Amino acid sequence: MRFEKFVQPENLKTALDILKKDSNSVILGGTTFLRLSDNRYSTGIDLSNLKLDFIKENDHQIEIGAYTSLRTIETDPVINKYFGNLLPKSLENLIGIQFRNNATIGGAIFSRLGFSEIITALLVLDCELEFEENGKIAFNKFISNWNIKRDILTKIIIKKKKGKSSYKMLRNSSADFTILSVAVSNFDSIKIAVGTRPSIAKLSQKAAQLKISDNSKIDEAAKLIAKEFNFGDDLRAKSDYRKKIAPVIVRRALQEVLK
Amino acid sequence: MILKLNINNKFYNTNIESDESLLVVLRHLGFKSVKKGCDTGTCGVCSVLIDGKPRLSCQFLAARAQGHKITTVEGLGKKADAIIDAIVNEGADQCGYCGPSLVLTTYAMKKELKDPTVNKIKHYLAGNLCRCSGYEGQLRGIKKYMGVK
Amino acid sequence: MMKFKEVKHSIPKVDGRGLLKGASAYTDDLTVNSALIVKLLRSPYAFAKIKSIDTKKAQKVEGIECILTYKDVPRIPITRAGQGYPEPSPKDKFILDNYVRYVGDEVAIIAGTTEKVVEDAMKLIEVDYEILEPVLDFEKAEGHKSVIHPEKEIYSMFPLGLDARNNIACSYLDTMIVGDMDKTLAECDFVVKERYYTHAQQQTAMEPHTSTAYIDVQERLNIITSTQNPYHTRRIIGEALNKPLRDIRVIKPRIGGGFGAKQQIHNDIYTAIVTLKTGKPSKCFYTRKEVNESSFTRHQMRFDIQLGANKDGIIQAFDMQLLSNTGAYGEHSLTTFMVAGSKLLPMYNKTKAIRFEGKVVYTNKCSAGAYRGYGAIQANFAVESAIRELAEKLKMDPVELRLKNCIKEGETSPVFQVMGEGGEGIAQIMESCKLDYCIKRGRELIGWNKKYPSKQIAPNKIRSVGTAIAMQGSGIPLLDMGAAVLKLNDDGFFNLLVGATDLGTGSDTVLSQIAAEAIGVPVDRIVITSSDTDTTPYDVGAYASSTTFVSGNAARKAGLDMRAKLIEEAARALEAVHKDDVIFEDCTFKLKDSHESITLKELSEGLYYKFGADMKQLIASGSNTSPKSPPPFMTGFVEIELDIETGKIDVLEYVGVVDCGTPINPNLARIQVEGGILQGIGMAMYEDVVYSKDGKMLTNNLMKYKIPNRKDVKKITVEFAESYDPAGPYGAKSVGEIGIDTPLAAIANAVYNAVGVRIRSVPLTPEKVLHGILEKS
Ligand SMILES: Cc1cc2nc3c(=O)[nH]c(=O)nc-3n(C[C@H](O)[C@H](O)[C@H](O)COP(=O)(O)OP(=O)(O)OC[C@H]3O[C@@H](n4cnc5c(N)ncnc54)[C@H](O)[C@@H]3O)c2cc1C
Ligand code: FES
Ligand code: FES
Repeated sequence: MRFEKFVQPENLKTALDILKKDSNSVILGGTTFLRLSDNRYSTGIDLSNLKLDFIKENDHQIEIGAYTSLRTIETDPVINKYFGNLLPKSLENLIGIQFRNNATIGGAIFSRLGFSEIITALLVLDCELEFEENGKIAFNKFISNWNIKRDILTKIIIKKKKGKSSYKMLRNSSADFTILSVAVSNFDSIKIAVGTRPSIAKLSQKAAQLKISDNSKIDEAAKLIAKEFNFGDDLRAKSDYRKKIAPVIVRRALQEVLK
Repeated sequence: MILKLNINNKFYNTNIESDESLLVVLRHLGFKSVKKGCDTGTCGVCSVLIDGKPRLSCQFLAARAQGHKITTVEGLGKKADAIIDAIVNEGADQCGYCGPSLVLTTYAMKKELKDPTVNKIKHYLAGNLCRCSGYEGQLRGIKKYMGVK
Repeated sequence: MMKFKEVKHSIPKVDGRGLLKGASAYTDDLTVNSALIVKLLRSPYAFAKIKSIDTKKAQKVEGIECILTYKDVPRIPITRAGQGYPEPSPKDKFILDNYVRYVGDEVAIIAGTTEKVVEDAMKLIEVDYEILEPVLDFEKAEGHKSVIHPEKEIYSMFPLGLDARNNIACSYLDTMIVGDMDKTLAECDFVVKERYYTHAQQQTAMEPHTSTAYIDVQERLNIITSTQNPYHTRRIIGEALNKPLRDIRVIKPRIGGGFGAKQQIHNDIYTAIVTLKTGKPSKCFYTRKEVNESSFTRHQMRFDIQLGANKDGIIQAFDMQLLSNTGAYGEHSLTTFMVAGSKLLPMYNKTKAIRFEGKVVYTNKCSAGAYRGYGAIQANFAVESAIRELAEKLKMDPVELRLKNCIKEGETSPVFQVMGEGGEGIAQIMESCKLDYCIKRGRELIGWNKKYPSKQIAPNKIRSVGTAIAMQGSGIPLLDMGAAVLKLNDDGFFNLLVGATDLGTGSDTVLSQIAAEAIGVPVDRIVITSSDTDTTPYDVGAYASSTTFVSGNAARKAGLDMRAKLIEEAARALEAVHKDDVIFEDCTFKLKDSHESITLKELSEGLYYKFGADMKQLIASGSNTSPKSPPPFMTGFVEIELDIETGKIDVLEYVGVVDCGTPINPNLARIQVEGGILQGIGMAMYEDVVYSKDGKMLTNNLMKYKIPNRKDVKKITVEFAESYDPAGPYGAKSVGEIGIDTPLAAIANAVYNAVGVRIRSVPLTPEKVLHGILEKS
């Protein structure tokens, strides 16, 4: 990554203006991922003065500013209080705390990476994104159908819900990318997301219809769910292996939720 | 761009390029304890403290550093001694390339971890890679320093 | 048990505190800010001929000082191996060539004032390639229609069996043969005949390869470089640039790990040539991508093993056929290959028939080079897996099988004489060998008798144990030489100058302890300097597990020499009738049966300032080469937990029990072994060098190439056997490499013991393990 000019706008409007006017400008999150590319930009737009680094709660929801670091989310008591360890679990193996202190949730979501674990986890929450220009959009919609390109993500809004959730993944070395990630929640209904397929995480369509009361059905259900997804190859595993472990990981996550 | 950086409680005026990493700028200013080991933000040898929190300086834009307190091992001075002793007394420092960043992260860990355990220590330091030591000796020393059995 | 004052004590590393405090010590720290930045334009193709190359546009970029292509550099075939001379590796590399032989091979050298201008210029160099069909599968390399080295100039100084027309870098046939293999195998009750594969591995020293060059006031070329062997580096650079060695100085500062990677010449040759061309200081700091893609990996190997035994469990026949992949260039091709045989075959020395043969081929992949374990780790996987397979056939506990067959103290093997590194070896008897103790003690520590073979602990989890044994060497007999110089200073301390290269191994500390022990002074009286071709004496460098043993004996000799000289001077000062009347203790020389004494400090001051005609500089030296290479031994035991639904392996504990003779510094020796074990576990489970179909390395950074982090392994336990080798300094053998050898087979054997699945190619990924489990059921 290279850029000529570094700008620190004082408000979101100015930031958006620059982004819109200069087609070769770029929003700078924690630059953990941006840095890896060879791209050359004219302007880097810094978000540090925009007060997007926060975690707030009210009676119904939790709001996370887009410039909040992954480490802050991982260790935040509010988030831990409401969603068990769903989000921390999806973050804790990402390289190291020095990395997670840099990486921001905005960058993690906006880059829509196939191996993103936090996206898998957020998919099973009731979650909305707020953009400066495009306003609010359902998280799932943004993930499954990416049509917002030049806008600023300002916050993530998560509805408080009662119920259990679980995050499970398989990776070889503990700081490697995952081979598969699975999140399950049971608030109003069961939601199941499968990620690192290796393409980006997706919600199961069938999960909502699942009525699993007795434990013996979990295995069957997990197999059914796993069949919904298609899997591909990457450095870490072939599609065939992912296909085989998907029902196992889904089952384990379901078991934890339905325990 | 011209920046005024607070490094180890001293101010430095320096002229940087807008997309330069803090790592490059710190090394240029003579803080050689901050090393470079990779291109991907994966090794941890470039760790510094920014406002007390360990961060990878290879990813951190120098342009953003103004107004923050940057700490490198050079700035810990005597406060590093107990950590350094804990490591060298186990012979756990081999090539030493990962050493300053490990000392610095351990220093931050001591402040941050309320009730340390072996697992919490390993988790906190997971981003500090070391190819020489196999980590066991470092753990033996750091456990002692952290008061963990 | 011998009592020592300085050795066999765990003192902190002499450079430890300084390095942890962040002292400027590594190559890049010592580089002047004004140094030109040197970068390489590299080949995007696995195999191609450069039809034309145009640097005109690039030259015009402001700040560019020098761009060199194959047309601008001497065309002298060298090997970058960094070995002794004559080199046992083919001379098949030019500084730059009009052929590129792997993705990442050097096309042009670019130097400029900043990184950015160099990158900009690099993009402007226009190269027209004729793309050739690459050889990517090492099993199809021999006789492939693409010839990787068609150039006429390449040659070898050693009888290697170099046959470049057929892509063969070396072959070794009809030599290592004892007894009648076919007949003995036919007579055996049980025979294991299997094929095993090991993959390439990255050394991944945390400090990337770095060098800086400048011209000094005597107009000589000075190079500071992260090297394991400054003397070989000087010689090779002199050869490549056709310069007398007097005009070159190579300095090794602190090194951020090497593990063999820095035995080879890397970017030092480019900074050297840039500085010679421009007269300006230059530096080159490889990116991790370059380290992975364009330096050196471990040799990929294929083994065909035959082991034959009788019902009683005595191994009668041991046959190893080996194919090794040296990549685009032949560094260490023959020697790693031979080590694969020479460090495994003698371990089972009850055999009647032994055979070891094979070939090393070129492919269009990253060059293979030296890496800790150096052939032995690859062969260990094959042989120690096969031993477990033999135990299965014999229905015998694999530990018992090893105890029955392994080499013991006072024994030998014919292999020692037939095979060395490169050529013939030297016969030797095991004067110290506690392998059987290591096996028994390891068995106890892991709790083998309770845990073998396995135990189901949950519906989807099985715990199991596995083991492997290993042997290395201690330097290369009568080829490795190291020297040390001691100089007495006023105030009574000594400079110890060694060519031995501490690359993070702690050898500066260990050598200081040995010298102190020999002189009879506390180690804090020693100030060590290593290494600089202008000021420190010759040493082969840090490889082949040689430093403690070879250079350690040199330090000991220098110390003893210094002690004798001190006593002679003290005797004069004390007017002793006879030297033998002088007792040297607690840094004081006393006369027997008298109160006369002089302290070391007083003596040193006298020699500098007060003794008139007797004033002198005391200098002592020692050189050492050894006719022997006493092997260290090790047993590795592992306990794993296997998830049988996913194939994921967790290492719960790894136990290593090591016979390295006297551990000169037990703490440092222990860390050497612990670090080695973890690198071995990395190779066994996580690390793999993967290429795309067209030969691009996909694992060219630390994001995709995963070395173990501190959460990966629960526990590593290391112990040493009480052992003393009379050939070593104060009984020491080597310890630098042995730790890495056993994990591959031990973990593979543990997988077998858990689920009966035999995996004959590493790494042991969850995918492979699960595949095996499903195939079985
Ligand atoms: C070595 C490595 C290993 C990794 N391993 C894992 C892993 O194991 N699991 C996992 O889940 N993830 C992993 N990741 C991905 C990691 O989560 C992302 O790199 C990180 O979250 C990106 O955050 P950032 O703030 O640094 O984004 P940046 O790199 O700064 O930006 C990424 C993209 O998002 C855009 N952007 C940033 N913020 C905003 C905003 N507010 N509005 C609009 N656009 C924005 C940027 O313009 C850019 O296009 C890994 C990444 C790396 C480099
Ligand atoms: S240099 Fe490797 S993480 Fe920063
Ligand atoms: S001591 Fe060498 S990398 Fe840690």
